Amino acid sequence: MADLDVQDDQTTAGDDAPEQQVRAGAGFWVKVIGLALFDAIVLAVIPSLIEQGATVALISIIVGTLGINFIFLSHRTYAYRWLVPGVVFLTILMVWPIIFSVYVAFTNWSTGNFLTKDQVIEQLTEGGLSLIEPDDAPTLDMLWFEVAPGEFKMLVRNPDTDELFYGSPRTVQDPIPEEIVLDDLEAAAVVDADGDGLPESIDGVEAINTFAVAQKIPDIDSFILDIPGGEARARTLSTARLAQTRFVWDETTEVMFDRLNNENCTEVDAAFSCAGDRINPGWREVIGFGNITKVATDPGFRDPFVRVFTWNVIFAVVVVAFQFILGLGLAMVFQDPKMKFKRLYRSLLIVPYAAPAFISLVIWRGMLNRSFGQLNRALEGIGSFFGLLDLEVAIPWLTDPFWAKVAVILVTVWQGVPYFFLINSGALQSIPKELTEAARVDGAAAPQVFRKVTFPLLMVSIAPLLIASFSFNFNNFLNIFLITGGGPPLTQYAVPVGETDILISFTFDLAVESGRGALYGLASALTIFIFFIVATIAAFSFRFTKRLETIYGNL
Amino acid sequence: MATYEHEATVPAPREEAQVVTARPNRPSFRRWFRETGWRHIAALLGVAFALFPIAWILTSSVNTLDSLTTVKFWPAETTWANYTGLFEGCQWDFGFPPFVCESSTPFPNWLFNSIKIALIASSAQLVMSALAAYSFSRLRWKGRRFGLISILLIQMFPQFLAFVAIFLLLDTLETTFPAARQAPIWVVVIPLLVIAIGAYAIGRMRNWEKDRMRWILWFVGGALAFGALAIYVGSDFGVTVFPKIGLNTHTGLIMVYLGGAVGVNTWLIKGFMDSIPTSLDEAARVDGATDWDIFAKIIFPLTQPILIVIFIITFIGLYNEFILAQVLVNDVDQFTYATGLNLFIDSQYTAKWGRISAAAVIGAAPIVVLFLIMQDRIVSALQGAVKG
Repeated sequence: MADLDVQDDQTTAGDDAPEQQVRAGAGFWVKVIGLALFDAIVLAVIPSLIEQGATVALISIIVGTLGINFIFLSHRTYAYRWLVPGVVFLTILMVWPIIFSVYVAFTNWSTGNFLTKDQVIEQLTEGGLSLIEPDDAPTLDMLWFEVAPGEFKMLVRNPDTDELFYGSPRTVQDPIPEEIVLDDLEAAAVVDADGDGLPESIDGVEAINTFAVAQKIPDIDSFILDIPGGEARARTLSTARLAQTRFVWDETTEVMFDRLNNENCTEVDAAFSCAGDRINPGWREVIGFGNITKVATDPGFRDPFVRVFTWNVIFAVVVVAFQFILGLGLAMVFQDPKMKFKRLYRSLLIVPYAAPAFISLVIWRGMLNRSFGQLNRALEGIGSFFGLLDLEVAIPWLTDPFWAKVAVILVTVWQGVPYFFLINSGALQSIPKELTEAARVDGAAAPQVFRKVTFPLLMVSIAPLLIASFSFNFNNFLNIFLITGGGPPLTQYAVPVGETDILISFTFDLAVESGRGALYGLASALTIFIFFIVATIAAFSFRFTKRLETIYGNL
Repeated sequence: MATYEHEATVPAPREEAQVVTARPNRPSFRRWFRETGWRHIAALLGVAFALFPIAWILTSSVNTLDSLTTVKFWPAETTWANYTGLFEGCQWDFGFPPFVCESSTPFPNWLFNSIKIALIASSAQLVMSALAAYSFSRLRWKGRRFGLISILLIQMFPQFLAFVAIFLLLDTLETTFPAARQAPIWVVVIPLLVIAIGAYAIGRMRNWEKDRMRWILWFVGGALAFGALAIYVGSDFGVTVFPKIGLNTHTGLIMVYLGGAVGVNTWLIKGFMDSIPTSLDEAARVDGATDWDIFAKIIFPLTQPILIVIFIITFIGLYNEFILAQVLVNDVDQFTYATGLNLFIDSQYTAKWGRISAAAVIGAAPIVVLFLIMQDRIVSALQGAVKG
């Protein structure tokens, strides 16, 4: 490495090193070029961030980049250099999403409330979607000018305000322009000889005679001139009607006016309410603890939540219990030193643990199929072995509420037994033989030795792993998602929920699809709830198994 | 290493002594069965439970009959057609995607994508994790305890549930980065100003005088690299400088996976590094080694046993990853093995069961074999938690 780094990275020895040793080695150049490239990329991104108005992102990126430069250039921050690569990604792709989720948890963000209020106002007041042309819409005076052969411009005048608008019209088929483009009449040579407010010539181009318009522009009623507040559409040869946006936003009073009903709209539930109707889309806004109170009080959310939570706890407890008992049983089977082929057995037994979880889950889903699945066939096979030749097994593993629960437990246990087999074997071997033998000598029977000596000793080392396993299975999303998808569905609730849904899959469903669209706010609130459950379990586990001491011992 | 076998042999001498005393009158079958034989039956039952789905997938992958309805456990006739059929109609193309397939389910691409993504992401994760672990284990700095605890806490938040945020983030990156390729000339001026201000600020620090040369070198290098890279190479010649980052790209997906680099694995590696005596690095330090030398030449090689296990477990985990790959990538050619297989099954559930089985075997076999080869190391890593 660079001699330079010898000098500066060792804070103890470096300070009195003579200056002539300062030479740039390969490592130094790697660092300089790496840092320069990193800065280059960041700096190149900044203009586009400014353009998008992403202030928070911009500030965080600048602060972060300056911090990283400082860390790599200052002696005193040497230790942090080792963390930079990992922590950069951790911050951007773990910490930021978490912070964002916390923010979303306090908002009403959902499919119906996806945009910001400004975006909603923009969409309602500028989009062509909510144009109306009421009976009393103003009739505009209209004139046409042929600025070049075959190229026409349109002039309209609002008789109420005497405002003139002049520009190239579009046809009905053209897309609505994002911005209104009009010619500037102030700068043009406008001649209004008769003083009626309608100019006869603009920049030397004479207005087309009203009767000639029909000849020159036969499809006149397909032309539209976009003017502020609506569209001017030719209705007769000399008049246009103004189709206006239904909504007008008053910047000063911050009130939305509804032209259709001629009244101001109110704001109800993060959406405009005009004449009693909710105007879609609504906007997202911070609603504080609204999502939490919704889950706590609204039966439409509370009932499925309670149901899912109960099943979630049952699922995790039952699964861990079976995994542990079967794993311990297998481990004890192999506690005989005379037994042969132990290594072969072990290799075969851990295959479910070794196989990619995703693949085995998908295979199980096929096996659990009611009419074609191999599990029912296998049960028939076992039946015929015991003489039940005509046995027909058609257990609806995936569609019946009870059997679906059995199925997810069965598959999850199948996956987890090898793990518990391995750790129980390790734990059993670490129990000193003297203890069990002493108990035997004292006249204890084998079951008694197990109950009074082996098992308590086993629990000392296994208990933290049981808790960890509970915590893992509490959030075993993949198993539920891939085996039953949470189903069979519970149709009596308004939210998407099924019999085998656990909290995390329920949350996922809320965030992805739902009868009313995705409910990001509610889903994020539940995510944070899950986080607290897991953190509590971990804290509990640390506390009662004193693992924390060993961890703190290393700090 | 306290392996399974090792433990089993420790009490052996005493047991053998018992066997020797019993041998003169050869044990009856009943006795053998009571002591050892039933264990084989229990073990075989366990093996049957464990291997039943795997055996079935193996047999149905070579079955001539194809659908779930007709596939029986023991095929009447066997064939390799299911395996070859997966690759039929696909041509290696040297481009991206690497294979051009006629069918709508380009299986070879999925496999290639998965291996590529998992390999890159798990290697990068390992390096990042090992670097951070070295800092936690060997260096002393402010916020170290806080950092360690935070890492554990952050890991408890289910990352994939923040997928809305991740989705929006990648979406923003997608729109931000192409714009950077067409950056106007003034982006050179402002960064140079920023660098100058930074230089002034840092220059006022204590060590400025001594290290003046390196600062100057650094700023010149930075300015040159910036100018060359971001502006003209990118936009004027139409060369894509940055890989496309964002939704529906592997770069984006790998970046998301790297978010979990510093986590539980950092803890494990740190714990292992703690057990390496510090006298080793002190000796090296006396001989003039830098921290980097100590890391690269002493700690890293000594940590290899745990690094290999962590690499394999991470690789398998990412190879398996389904949710984020599903949410972030939606172009069939860019699918990973997991999302591809899921699509395969959704689209041809009952029709092509043999083909699905073959795909599952191809995907799972290398992982299972790798795991079984490495089983002693993995088992001892797992059992380390209960043996203390």
